[in-house]
Amino acid sequence: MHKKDCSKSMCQCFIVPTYILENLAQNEVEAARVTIAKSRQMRRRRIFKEYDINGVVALTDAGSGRHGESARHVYDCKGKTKLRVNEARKEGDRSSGDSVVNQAYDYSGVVRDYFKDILQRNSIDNEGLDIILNVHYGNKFTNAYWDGDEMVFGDGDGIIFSNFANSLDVIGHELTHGVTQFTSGLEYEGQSGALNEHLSDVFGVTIKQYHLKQTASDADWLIGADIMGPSLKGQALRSMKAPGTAFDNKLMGKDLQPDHMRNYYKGERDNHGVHINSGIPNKAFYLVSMEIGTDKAALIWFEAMQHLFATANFNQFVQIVLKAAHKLVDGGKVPDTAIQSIEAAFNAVGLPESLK
Amino acid sequence: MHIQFSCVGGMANLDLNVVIDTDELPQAKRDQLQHLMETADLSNLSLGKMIEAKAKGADAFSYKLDILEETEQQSFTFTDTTASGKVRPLLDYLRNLAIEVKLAE
Ligand SMILES: [Zn+2]
Ligand SMILES: [Zn+2]
Repeated sequence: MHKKDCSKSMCQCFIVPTYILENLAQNEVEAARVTIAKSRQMRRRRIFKEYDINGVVALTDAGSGRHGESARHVYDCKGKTKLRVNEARKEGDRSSGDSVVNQAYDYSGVVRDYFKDILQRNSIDNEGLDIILNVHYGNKFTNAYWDGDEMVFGDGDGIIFSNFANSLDVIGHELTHGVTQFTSGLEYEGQSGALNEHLSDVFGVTIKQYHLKQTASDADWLIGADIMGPSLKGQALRSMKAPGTAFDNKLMGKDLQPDHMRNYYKGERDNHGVHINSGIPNKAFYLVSMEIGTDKAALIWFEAMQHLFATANFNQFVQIVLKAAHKLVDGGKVPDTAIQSIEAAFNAVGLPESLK
Repeated sequence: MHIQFSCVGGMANLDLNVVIDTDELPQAKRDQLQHLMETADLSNLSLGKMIEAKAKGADAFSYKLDILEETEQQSFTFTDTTASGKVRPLLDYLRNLAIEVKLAE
């Protein structure tokens, strides 16, 4: 059952028996109950999060917004590190004087509407959870993250990175982390963590292509090309089409993403390479999209996303994607060539791995 | 005092490291760092609390801070989501210093 070179302390290299997958799929009533409980818990956590006296005022403000309608709230951290202090634009407000606030507002609207209109998912929790974005966080903060409740974006250092909120695929990536938290809750470590990263890249890129009305062959398949500094035009954080070629600069070094299992990163860094090994499934998604179209591939991946579980590994992911594809082929939503395309794409990146 | 700082991961998967000998810093920078260290109030950070604060979410940076003073060494770890409001300005400062150093290499 074990891979020879399994280096993880908690071994996950098993294939889940099909009967367990069946049970997972059939248990949708239970899943819905858990989702509602999680939504409540998050709404509560947002209220009781660590706040100072200034924060309490803003909190009351956020509380008066429309709830259950996936309303956007954009906060301006003004270079400080407190979240949700100055609300700069909320759902329905007219344009703010700050272009970063407006970008965050507009792009998160595109992402929310894609999930709702194309995938029939009502916001992060499918219960219309409000969408909270904090921009201008910290001093030259070179990151964007999902903190478990809300999104945070830095302004970048101004040389290597410009503003992290200035990108539809980055905002799509972060918001999708919220969706993952509410669906499979993929653990942010090793292969499950790389799958968590992969799904965020998939929907980041898919939503950008949808918004720009691009096809798989027109698109650049880059994540974060819009947040690179002026001297790094053409570089990006990741390339789904050609993992390992997105950047080469003084700050980031050279892109080390593998595009095949033979180059799988086994080191400890980055939670055992969650942003590194995501290159492997990313490449497979690109290959499938080139065959059946990004829109159809995304439908399959979204279906799979809802049947994943927290510790899923790459091999299990392949099985679940194939199962999702069979379901959508049977329902006439995707062409029946999808199955073959998926098998070929995963084979091209060395998946599934044979277990010795 | 020697400070060893690293900032790893994040959306852009960075790997930043810097070692600072505070005696080598110009006076203004040393004062600023001193002030940020006081604000961070590291001596009152209990190790238990740091371990307890489970990282949530995704794409947060992981920070490691080692402070060596004569024979005493203290080590701290944080992420963007677990660091308290008091510590965040210090992490901001050290990260920017690490970037400055890396770009100058
Ligand atoms: Zn094993
Ligand atoms: Zn991510």
